[in-house]
Amino acid sequence: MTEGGHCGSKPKRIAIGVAPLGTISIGIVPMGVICIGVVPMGVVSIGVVAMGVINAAIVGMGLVAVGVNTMGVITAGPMSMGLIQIRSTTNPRYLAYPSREEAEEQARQLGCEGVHRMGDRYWMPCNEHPQ
Amino acid sequence: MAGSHGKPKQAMFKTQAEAEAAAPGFGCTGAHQMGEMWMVCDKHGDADHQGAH
Repeated sequence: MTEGGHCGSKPKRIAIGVAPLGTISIGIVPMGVICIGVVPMGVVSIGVVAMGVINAAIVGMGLVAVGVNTMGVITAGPMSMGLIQIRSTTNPRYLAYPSREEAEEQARQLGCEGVHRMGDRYWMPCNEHPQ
Repeated sequence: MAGSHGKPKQAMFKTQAEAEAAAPGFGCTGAHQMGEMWMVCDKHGDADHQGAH
C-alpha cells in the first residue's frame, strides 16, 4: 500500500511512502519540493526545496533543521549535538541578477566593485564573494 | 526565455542538493561550496571588471 517517495530521488511531483529501513517520506520533489520523511537513522524531513524552499528535518543522530530557503531564506535548526543555527541567506550579495547592470547597481549599494557571472544567464555583484 | 529582465535569484543555499537543484535555472550544473553555504554551478564565474569604477 505504499510507494517509495524518497526525498529528491525521483521526479515525482508528489510521493508518499514507507521505504526500506523504516523510511517514510512524503514529498513533492525536484522543483517545488515538499518532503516529509523519516529516513534511516531516524531522519525526519519536511521540505519545500529549490525555488521556494521550506525545509525541516530531523536527521540521523538527532539533527533537526528547519529552513525557508531561496528568496527569503531563514534556516533554523538544532543540529547534531544540540547546536542551534539560525542563518539567513537573504544577503543581497547572495542574489544573482539577470542583467549586469542590475548587479552593478547592487554592487554600488553594497560598496564593492565589479560583478561576476553566475552560470550563463546571471550576474552577481562584487568581484568576489564574501566568505 | 531567459530575458534580460527579471527578478534576482538566490544563488546561495544551505545545502548542496538545493544548490544543484537550482543550477539549471542559471544555465549551469552542479554546485560549489562557499564557506558553510553552497552556490549554484560547478565553478564560480569569472569576475568581470567592465563597468567597475
